[in-house]
Amino acid sequence: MNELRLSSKILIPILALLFVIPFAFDLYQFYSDIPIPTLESDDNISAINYVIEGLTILFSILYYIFLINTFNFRDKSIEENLKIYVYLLGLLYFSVIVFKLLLNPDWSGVSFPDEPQTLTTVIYSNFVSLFAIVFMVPILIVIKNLIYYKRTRRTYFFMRLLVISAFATVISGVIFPVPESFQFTGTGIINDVLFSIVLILVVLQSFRNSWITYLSRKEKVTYFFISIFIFWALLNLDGFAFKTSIPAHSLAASVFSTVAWYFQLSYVLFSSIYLLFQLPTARVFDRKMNEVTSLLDLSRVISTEFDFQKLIKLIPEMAIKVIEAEAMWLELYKTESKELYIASSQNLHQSEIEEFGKSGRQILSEKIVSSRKPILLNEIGKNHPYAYLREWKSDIGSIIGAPLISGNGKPLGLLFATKRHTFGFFPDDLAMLEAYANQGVIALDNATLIKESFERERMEEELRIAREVQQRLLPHKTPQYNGISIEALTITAYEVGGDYYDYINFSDDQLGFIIGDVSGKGTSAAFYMAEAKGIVQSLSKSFKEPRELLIRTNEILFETLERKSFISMLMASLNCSTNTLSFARAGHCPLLYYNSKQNAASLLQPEGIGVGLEKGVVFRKKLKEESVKCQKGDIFVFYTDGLSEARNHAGEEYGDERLRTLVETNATKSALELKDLVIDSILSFLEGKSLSDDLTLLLVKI
Amino acid sequence: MENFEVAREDHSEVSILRLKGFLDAHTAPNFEQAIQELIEEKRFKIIVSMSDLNYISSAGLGVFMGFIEEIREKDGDIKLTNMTDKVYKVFDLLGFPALYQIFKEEAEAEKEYNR
Repeated sequence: MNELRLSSKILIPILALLFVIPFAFDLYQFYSDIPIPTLESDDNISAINYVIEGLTILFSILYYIFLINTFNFRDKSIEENLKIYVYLLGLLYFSVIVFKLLLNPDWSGVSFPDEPQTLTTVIYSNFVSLFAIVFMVPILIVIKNLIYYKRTRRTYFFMRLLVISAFATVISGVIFPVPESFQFTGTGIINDVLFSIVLILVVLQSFRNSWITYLSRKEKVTYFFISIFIFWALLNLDGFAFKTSIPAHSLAASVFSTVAWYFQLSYVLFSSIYLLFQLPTARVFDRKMNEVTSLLDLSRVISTEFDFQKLIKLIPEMAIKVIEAEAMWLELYKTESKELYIASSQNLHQSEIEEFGKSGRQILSEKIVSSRKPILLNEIGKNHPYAYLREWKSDIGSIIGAPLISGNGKPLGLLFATKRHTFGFFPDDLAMLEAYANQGVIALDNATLIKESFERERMEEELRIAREVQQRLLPHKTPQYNGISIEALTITAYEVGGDYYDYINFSDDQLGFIIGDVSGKGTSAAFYMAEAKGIVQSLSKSFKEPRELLIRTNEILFETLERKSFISMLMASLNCSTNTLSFARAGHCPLLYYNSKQNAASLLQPEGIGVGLEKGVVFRKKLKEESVKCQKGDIFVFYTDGLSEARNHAGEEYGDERLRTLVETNATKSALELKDLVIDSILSFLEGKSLSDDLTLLLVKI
Repeated sequence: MENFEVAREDHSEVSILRLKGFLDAHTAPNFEQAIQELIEEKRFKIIVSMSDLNYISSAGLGVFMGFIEEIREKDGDIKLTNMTDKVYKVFDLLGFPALYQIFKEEAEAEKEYNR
């Protein structure tokens, strides 16, 4: 910044000096009768004149640098550039008028350049030249900015070519002081050729006005009229201000201002024509631009908004502005049924749309959804097949509707827009509505996906908790009783089931086993399991018979379990001194018993209903307790349906029978070996398929 | 995921729900909704026919339990028919025959309602 200020500080006095020196020279010339340089004048005088012209060229260049350094021309918008242009042109006119009135110039009009007749004329010509440079340079910068609105490498090339040829024209104009006449004769020929090249380049550059395309319709109309006025003003500018006064002071300034003037004139003329040609399509263009921006807005919102409820409000809200409808609403299908509901509306109350009646709306909606195409009803007359729309609301003259079809082809709903007038919608409105519907689908699909993934995350978390609860509830160590070996196995499925087993220490020689399965999965199953364990453990202090214990457990759990939840349980009590196992089965899988004496395994399934199914009367009536007198080598296998119902790829179940046979044929093996055999057997049966339910196995070998 | 379908058929006061496929924790809500609809329409005489039901899990059984109290209070019932042996085994294991009337054919259950 300091550097910039410094250069401005230096430049201003230099510029002032560069103005004052030729000015002083002009005054001196006026009083001392030195002839103004013409083709006939001698070389000595011309040399001084060349210096003076050189100073003027230097002035212009330094002034350009000063402007570029002082003002930021680059980042101006189209509108700002145009405003600056009008101000500059106005100021130029104003300054020239003021000086003309004040100084009243008078010219000889005999030779070229004209000779000033009075001192005021000298002052006038100096100042007009100054104004020409002072205002024309920034004007050219502004026009350059407009041309560069949409630039290519060629734009730069032609611009450079223009600057170079203009500079050459200025130099040749100084060397051959002949007015541009396009006579292509004598010494003027070089001037004329160079000037023609400049003019061609100027016209070429004048085609570059693509900034006009992106103006709004209103701007196009306004700018067109302004441009006509400016063109007229420009036409007069040369004769009014430049023609005689500038050459009298400086030929360089004269050529420069003439080139600049042609450039402006041409650029304004072409802009004017462009504006005129674009007026008829301006409305359509405006609309398309609007559509693009609003669709962009919508897609931006979509990428940030994942709240389903907010989205369904946003879709008609954003669409109504572009489609210019009077009312809009969005209908969506309910997730569970195929019924449509009004998700959101604009300028029309939800209840009003509902009044329209399910049947009436449905006919239209079904037609749109089944054809998968938007529909346009522009004239809803009395005999129209959709005349009932009028009956519903008399101020609906036209209606358009588009379906929202999800990515997987499933219809999500419909988007409607209405207008009071008949023929209110154009076919391109339909395309627009469809675009909105499509964007809406993406938004809603995304929101649903995000929601699902959140849900999944939440479920994962829940599962993790459930697994943890389940793991903590299971016994940490196997009880040690003389002559009994116990092996337990639990395999948790991905979705935690409600499997549970436990040991009860009834007394020193009486050991209890419980195996259970809570209906349902996940956290609720895990918590019911926890509840069941607590109840059973505390009741076991007072009730030592399996049947009685189950009856009491059912009484308590029935009160607290959710109606649709229940627990299947099997309780057994093994008396180690009498070698008797008594057990009761409350809706659970049978007890597998291997009798070593008979060398046969069987499934014991006494009657009994699940815990929590019934408050107690039937439960008590149905529940039977059985006793088994056992001996060394006998095996009891407690299991859950996760084992018997384990499915392989073919959908076949592992089944009780497979387990029974396996135990029977391997009964001589130890409990641990047997457990491993069961695991192997199940795994080979599953053939890599994962379990869909928990699997629990409790092996007791006497 | 396994498929599950509920088809409904109304015979005057009695409604028959025919289950097909796999009834487990994932598909139970569909079945639940079907019964819920019947209750909303005050149709409490329900027959659940299961000839095409391949599998029922504890969550599926829970659906019956979830509604039976309310339906019986309204003098209705859920009667079960046309079970395959495999499905019957699951019901039997849990003791359902003590809580529900189970018939071989829909007609028998209907007759029982119209008695």
